[in-house]
Amino acid sequence: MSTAPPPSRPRLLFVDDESRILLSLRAIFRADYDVTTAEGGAKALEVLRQERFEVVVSDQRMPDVPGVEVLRAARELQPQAIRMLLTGYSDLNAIIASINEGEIFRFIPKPWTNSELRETIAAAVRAASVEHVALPEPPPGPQQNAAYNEVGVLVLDEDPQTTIALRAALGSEREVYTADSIEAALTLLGEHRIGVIFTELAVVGQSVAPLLSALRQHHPALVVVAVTSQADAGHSISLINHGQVFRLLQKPVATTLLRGTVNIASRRHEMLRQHPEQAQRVVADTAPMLQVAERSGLLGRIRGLLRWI
Amino acid sequence: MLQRLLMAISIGAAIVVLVVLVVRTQSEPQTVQGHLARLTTLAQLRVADENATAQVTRARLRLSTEAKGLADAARRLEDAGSALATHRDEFRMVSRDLAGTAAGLLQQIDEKKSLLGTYERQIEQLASSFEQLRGQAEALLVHPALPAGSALHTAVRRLIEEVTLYALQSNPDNQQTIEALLNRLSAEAASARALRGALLGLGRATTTVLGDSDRASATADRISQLPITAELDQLRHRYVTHYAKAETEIARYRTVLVIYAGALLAVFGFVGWRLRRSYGELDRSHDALQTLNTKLEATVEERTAELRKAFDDLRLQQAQLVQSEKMAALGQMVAGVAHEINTPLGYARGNVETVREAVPLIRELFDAQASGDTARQEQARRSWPPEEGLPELEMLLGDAEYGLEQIGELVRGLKDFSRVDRSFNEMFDLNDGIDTALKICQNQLKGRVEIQRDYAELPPVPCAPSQINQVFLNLLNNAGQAIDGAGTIAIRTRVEDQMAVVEIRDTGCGMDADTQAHIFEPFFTTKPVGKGTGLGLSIVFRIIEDHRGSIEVDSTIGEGTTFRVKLPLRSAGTGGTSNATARPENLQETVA
Repeated sequence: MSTAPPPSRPRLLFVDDESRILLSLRAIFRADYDVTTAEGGAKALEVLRQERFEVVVSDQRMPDVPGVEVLRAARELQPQAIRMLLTGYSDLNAIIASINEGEIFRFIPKPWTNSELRETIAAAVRAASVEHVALPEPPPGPQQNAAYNEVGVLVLDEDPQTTIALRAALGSEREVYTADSIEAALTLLGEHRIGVIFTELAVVGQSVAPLLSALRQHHPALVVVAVTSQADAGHSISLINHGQVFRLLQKPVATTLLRGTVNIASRRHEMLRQHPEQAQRVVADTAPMLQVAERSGLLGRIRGLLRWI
Repeated sequence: MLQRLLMAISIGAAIVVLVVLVVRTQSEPQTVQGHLARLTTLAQLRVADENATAQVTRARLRLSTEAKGLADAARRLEDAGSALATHRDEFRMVSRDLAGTAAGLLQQIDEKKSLLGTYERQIEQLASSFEQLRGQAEALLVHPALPAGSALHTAVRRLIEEVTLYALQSNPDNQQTIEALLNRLSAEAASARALRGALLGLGRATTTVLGDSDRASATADRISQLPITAELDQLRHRYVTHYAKAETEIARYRTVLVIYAGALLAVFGFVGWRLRRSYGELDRSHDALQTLNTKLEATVEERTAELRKAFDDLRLQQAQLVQSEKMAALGQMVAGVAHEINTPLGYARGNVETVREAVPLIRELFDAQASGDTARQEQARRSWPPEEGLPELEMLLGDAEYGLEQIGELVRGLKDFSRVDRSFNEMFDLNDGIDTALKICQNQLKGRVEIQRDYAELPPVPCAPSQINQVFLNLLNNAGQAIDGAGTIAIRTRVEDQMAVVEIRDTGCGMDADTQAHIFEPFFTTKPVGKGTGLGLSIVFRIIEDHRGSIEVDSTIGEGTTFRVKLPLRSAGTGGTSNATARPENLQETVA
């Protein structure tokens, strides 16, 4: 580089086992960012230990270390960094793992469009600019759970088993509200203090994606956990890109996992409430879904709800 | 068997007991006729004996008449004795004692018989000597020298009377009287000379009569002393007692026989009743069986129909499963191929976009140079420095070109793989097939598994290439999945005994003998639920079988697995061609 990069330029790490991908990405971003590339997962882990990055973008399918492993390592080594998956292989398990373990910001399919990729990277860099706040440690004794107990859990699912399982997992620690339609969910959200929502992907044949996008936009402290019996790659990608779901669980969910998920989601809700700017780190690409929400009048209701809260 | 033997033995025993009882009750000495004959014989013997004894006394009293009665009595006695002798053996059969007694009795009868003879002669002797005495006495009585009424006359008369009495009596008590009379006569004889000779003669005759009479009396005594009557009574008594005893015994046996026969009858009755009942039950069972049989036929028909339906369903399901396995394999393959295509497509498209984005900058550079405005030129050079930009453009376009070539090759591989437009009996180079399959599953193996190729020159093999490709893809996929982490897949081809042999060896986890025995069965899988339908290798097996080839597996846990596919170099006739139109169609649908 002939022009010395100013130190303030955001640093990007691209990981892929195909060097031509890395060359292509470098050509796109080298003008605006400080680009580092790692050919393969092992090299990526090495680089992650040595340098700090604002954004880490990894391929999933790599012969040595898969992308999910790279992102999980990145989350531990550099929690500040925003993580993304860039892959042409839509393996459902890899996508779910990248959501739950990698806590990724976006899932980018190959082949990409340069302009969209630029926007996504820019959004990621903006999200990374917000200082990362670690989740509060879980309270050591049960008596201190009282503060968390006020925050209820909303279940949006036609299948009563989800509520039953959740009640069994939580006992009397926390209120569990049940809605079997989006309408009912909105009403409950307006009436009660709810921090976490467990939702199916669709209720009464209606996709919840617009709702989740709208909630992300207007009620960013609400933590969304998707629980589904019919996960597929396309839905999962949409959930993360447009709804920034916190977790994606597949039915049937073990009681311990359910309990653990509620606890960590509640702590996250608490953190987001206390540090509203942190919502910027999990901002979603809500635009496409918001259009749908607007058309269905959902957005208006949620705006009204927001005033309420 | 044992039960039957026991039954036969008990029936035999029952019959033996019955026979014994019958024999016991019907024993020969106990027949009534025999019994009566024996009793009659004994009675006749008694009568004969008594008669003989009576004749002995009577003969004495009839001295004058002939002793014919005695001879009759002796004959009768002899007849009765011989009758007893004929019965002696029968008595012996009754009892040895009785036989002995009878023998003794016969001996005594013989003795009596001889004594009777003796007696008869003595009586005759007595009669003649008495007759002589009476003649002399009558002559004397009318003798002139002896007047009637004289003492001597009276004495002579008296003597005659006394001697007659003596001769008639068996136990005379007038011997002294006779002796006194004789003494008187002898005394008289001395005085009367004329009468002397006659008197002396009378005296001698008297002595002879007395002597004869005494001998006859002795014989009669001996006869009367023979204990025939007593022994006869004893024999009779003992015989009767014995007979009565035997009779009682037989009666007892008879009672036993009656009871036994009754019992047997009862047993037979019971057995008969049981048999009757068994037959009744048998009849009922038979009826029930027949009813059941009829029902069974109906049920069997019903079940057969159900089974046929179930079988049809199963066949349909299996076909669906095979189809879904194909779809699953296809899905997996498509996902892999998509990644393979998306990667070069990704950078090719990105690069082209980047180049297009550079175009305005390049145009601005040209425009600036044409305008001659140095400041503008400077500005344009800063935003797009040609000394860096041009090599980069070259590189980006080169990569894009490479990527497109990659994609083209992949698509060609897919087309080769499916071979939808070829026939079943196409001559096909197996080495090419392996390479095509390797290309398809490269994304699974790339960078992780080393591929070693050891190909021999193979003559083209008649087969359905799309199916054989599926076999290779399946085997290579399995090999790749068996290897956890890094490893090697060695592929070797050769010609052996008119067969083309393809060996695919992996350094994977291997299988135990049990798994090896089942891998070609439908629905057998070692993969986790949902990961495989367990049809992959069964389809492989079927395809190879359809080609009249064979597939073998060698495996060692921890060392790896070798699959060996053998295909005949020559077509096995027309059998395969009939499949030509049917089989590849399936793939045509899914790939198209």
